[in-house]
Amino acid sequence: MSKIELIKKAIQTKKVSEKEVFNYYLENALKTKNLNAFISMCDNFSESDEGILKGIPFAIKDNLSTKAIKTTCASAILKDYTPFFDAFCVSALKKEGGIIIGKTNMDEFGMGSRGENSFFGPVKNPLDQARCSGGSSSGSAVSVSSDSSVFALGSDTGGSVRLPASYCSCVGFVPTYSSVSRYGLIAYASSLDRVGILSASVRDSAIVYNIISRYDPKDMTLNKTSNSVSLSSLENNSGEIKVAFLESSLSLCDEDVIKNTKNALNLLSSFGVKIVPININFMKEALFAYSIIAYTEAVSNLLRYDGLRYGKNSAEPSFIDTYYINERSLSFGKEVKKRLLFGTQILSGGNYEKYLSYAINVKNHLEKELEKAFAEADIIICPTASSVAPLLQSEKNDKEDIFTCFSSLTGNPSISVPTNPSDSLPTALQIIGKKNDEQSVFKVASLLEKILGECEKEENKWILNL
Amino acid sequence: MKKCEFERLCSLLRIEVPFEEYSSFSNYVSELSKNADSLSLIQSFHISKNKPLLFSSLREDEVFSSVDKESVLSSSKSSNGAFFRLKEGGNKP
Repeated sequence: MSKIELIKKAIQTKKVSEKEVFNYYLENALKTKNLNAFISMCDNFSESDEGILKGIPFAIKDNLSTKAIKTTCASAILKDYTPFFDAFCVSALKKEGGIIIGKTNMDEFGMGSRGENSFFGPVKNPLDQARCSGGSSSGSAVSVSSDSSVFALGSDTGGSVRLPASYCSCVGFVPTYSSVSRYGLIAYASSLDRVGILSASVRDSAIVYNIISRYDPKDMTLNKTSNSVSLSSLENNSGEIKVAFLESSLSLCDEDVIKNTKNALNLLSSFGVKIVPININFMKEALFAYSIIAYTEAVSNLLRYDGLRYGKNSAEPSFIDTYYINERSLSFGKEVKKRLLFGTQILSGGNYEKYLSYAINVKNHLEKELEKAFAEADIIICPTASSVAPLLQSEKNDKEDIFTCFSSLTGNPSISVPTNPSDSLPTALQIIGKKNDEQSVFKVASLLEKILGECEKEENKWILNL
Repeated sequence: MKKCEFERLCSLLRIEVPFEEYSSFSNYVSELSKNADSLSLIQSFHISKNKPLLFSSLREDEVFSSVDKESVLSSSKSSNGAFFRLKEGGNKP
């Protein structure tokens, strides 16, 4: 069931007005202020344009540029930055009648997987406030999960949309690299950055994806041909889909994740989906390769922040070099500095060849591994995260983003769908498709969501807040 | 990692941070270094030096398929831009 379509129908039949819908979500956002999901709120309602999203309030991660609305990247160095233009995806959604409700909190510049590295403080999980919400699109996931927005835009470099979706029990989708314009997305690692969607249902994600995946001449890396998804075929279960399950993933997972994953696979199998076990090598190496590529690109992308135009402006402007050092030291958070140091170390003479060769080789091997897997199946399935949401401030586990990193390196489309029963913390399955085959990804995700929804009816035990 | 090396990185980045706070960073660098050294697959793929490494996920035709070369060339003629000079055969003033 699509929330977007339900609300739209209610507005069209005059059961509710656009303003009432807006106020409902705004009130929810204010009621759940303690979760720290939003950095800035847009509380002035104005009638929206005609279109697919007419009257639908949505939230935007604070690294996507928004005209006349502050865009901070959750960093002190951009705390006063107000762009004079909209990111392409933002303007596409506005043109279709979507209404911005606020800008969401995140890990500073997208650097983190828990939502704890923000200048504006950590984002709490709405299902258990002692736990983290995942990151870096933490606020976007929380806004959807706590019913403070109908859907939200996020960005994903190594799992930043899928991990928070898994921890907060919502749907998180990232398209094929180069199928959605990155114009207006503040860069962290340009060859890995993707705009993603967080929503309450798979169909909602597909609706939003069809809007933001339109062609934009301002992003020269973008595919000219559109991969838009046929919404009507999502409900159609005809046609055999072969699914490959990443068997080795289970040995890295906690008990809850294993139980819910097996259960979801059994349900899929009982609905006639053919599941074949596969293994993908170089998963651990993918984490290192990701770090090398992302951190080195971050060094050049973040060099532009010198504190002259934006930032704390706290240092005395005596010497320009002292000024830069003071501003950058005071304004960047610890995790950002760590990653920049790491990237600079790699880019130093002698290291560059060794580390970059390593990263590119791992990436090439992964491409081959996925190619082999896709020769056997249309879709690869594995858990999104190896555990339920970790406790805030707990020690970071190396395996947290192991299942999201490898498909980030290869740029394949993937979606995270919740698989948890109501009496436990959220877990999720990740569905990875061939490049530019978003249709199959949405189709299997939709089927999984439907099957789990059926179970909710049958056993009165499952929850999928749709 | 030695303290002097760490300080060199900081000065390149124009930041000041205490060395002691970043011990975990040093550990990560050495772990990665071990991993990169031990992995024999480094030799198994040829990396073309002509290809930009960081954007290797994109094929050349994927990058250029989105650019209408002719329209770029014609629009650059009026502004005397880089494309114009390239088309005219060289980077002369």
